[in-house]
Amino acid sequence: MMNEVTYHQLPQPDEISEREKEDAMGAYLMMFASIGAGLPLPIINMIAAIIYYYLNRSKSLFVKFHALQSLLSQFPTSIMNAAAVIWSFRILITEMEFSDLWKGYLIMVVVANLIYFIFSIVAAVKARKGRFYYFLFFGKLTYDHVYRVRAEAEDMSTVNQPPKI
Amino acid sequence: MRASIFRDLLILLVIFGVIWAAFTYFPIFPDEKVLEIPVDKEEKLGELIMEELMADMEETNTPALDSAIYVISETLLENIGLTDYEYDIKVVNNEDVNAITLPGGNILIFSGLIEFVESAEELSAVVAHEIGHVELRHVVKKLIKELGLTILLSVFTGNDPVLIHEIGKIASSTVFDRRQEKKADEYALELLTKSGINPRIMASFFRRLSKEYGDIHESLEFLSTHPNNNSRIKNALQYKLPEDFEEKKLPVDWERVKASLNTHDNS
Repeated sequence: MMNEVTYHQLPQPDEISEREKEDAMGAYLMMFASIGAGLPLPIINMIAAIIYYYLNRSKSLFVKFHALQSLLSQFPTSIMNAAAVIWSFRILITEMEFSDLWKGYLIMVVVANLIYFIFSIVAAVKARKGRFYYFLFFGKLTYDHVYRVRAEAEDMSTVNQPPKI
Repeated sequence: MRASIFRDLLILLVIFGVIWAAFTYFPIFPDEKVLEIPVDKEEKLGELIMEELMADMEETNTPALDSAIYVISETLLENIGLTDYEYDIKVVNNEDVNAITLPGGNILIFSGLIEFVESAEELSAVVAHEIGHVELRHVVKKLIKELGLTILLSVFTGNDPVLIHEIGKIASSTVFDRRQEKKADEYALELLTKSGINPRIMASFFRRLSKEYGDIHESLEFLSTHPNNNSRIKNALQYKLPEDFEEKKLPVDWERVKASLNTHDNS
């Protein structure tokens, strides 16, 4: 860790309001609904996730953390799904072979989606209880982004200045 | 923190990379249902179907034609490498310009096709294409797709003549899917090259065929699911010949073969 990087203290479950817990849980659950709507081209769920994040990020750091973690973790899954759809169509249209590489990719995408689903459900349950849950990579990335104390964050209040003479 | 984030990213990439690679190299869905019908069973099936079909068809034999077919099949089969099949190539009396591939390496060439092709090399191209269907096991795959494995296997237990008739119909309908046609074309181009026959002959054959009959013609079933005749012509023309390719002429007097067929018809 670098010397200057400090982090905000994490809130404990009893310090988080019910509303925040529900909003944090909603970040994960909403993805399931929008993934269904976003098929076959998973663009809609990405848009929904981004909107959800921007609506909720100012509520509290706890909500922001979960909304952002959910958003970030679904980017790669969505892109992989989209690639799988596009690749499959390409094969169908150009009458190429369904290669082993393609089959392997498809299985990988299925595995990725399963992992994403399972971890999202766990995270939703934890969030509802006011706890944190860190995904591999995405958890740390989100924590670093949300809870790091930034220099500019120190003086949030802008001071009104008279016009320069 | 940053370093640890990157380490985690690396872990994720490695995990999914390994999953992808693992399932690529060890496919868990073997599409080889066709393996359930080993070649000896396929040959048995072929025999049954041949018996059924030959009841309605008449084999055409003339000494010139027989020797031409012999030369062609020997030339091709010599270069096919290891094969599990015993090929049986017959000419049957039928006006259609067609050739059909039955299970177990049985290939039927219609006399209409013999009339249509202009040289023994052209006929070799067609035969090589049909051999491709056999070697790539398209016939069995088609039957499994149409009938299902269970029904197909039931042929071997009970000799149900109706069922064999049905299978014969499907097998001789010669409808392969485009992918299979393309594969068989590729196989034929390679086999022709190995046999010292210029693979470009396929292009000229296809061109004449579509000129004569248009792109789609009912009697040309074996081309109707084609990946479009033009693209087949293109593929044949684009096929790269090896540098040491030496074209050999088949020792067949094609005009005599055709002539013998006509006198045979008239007699």
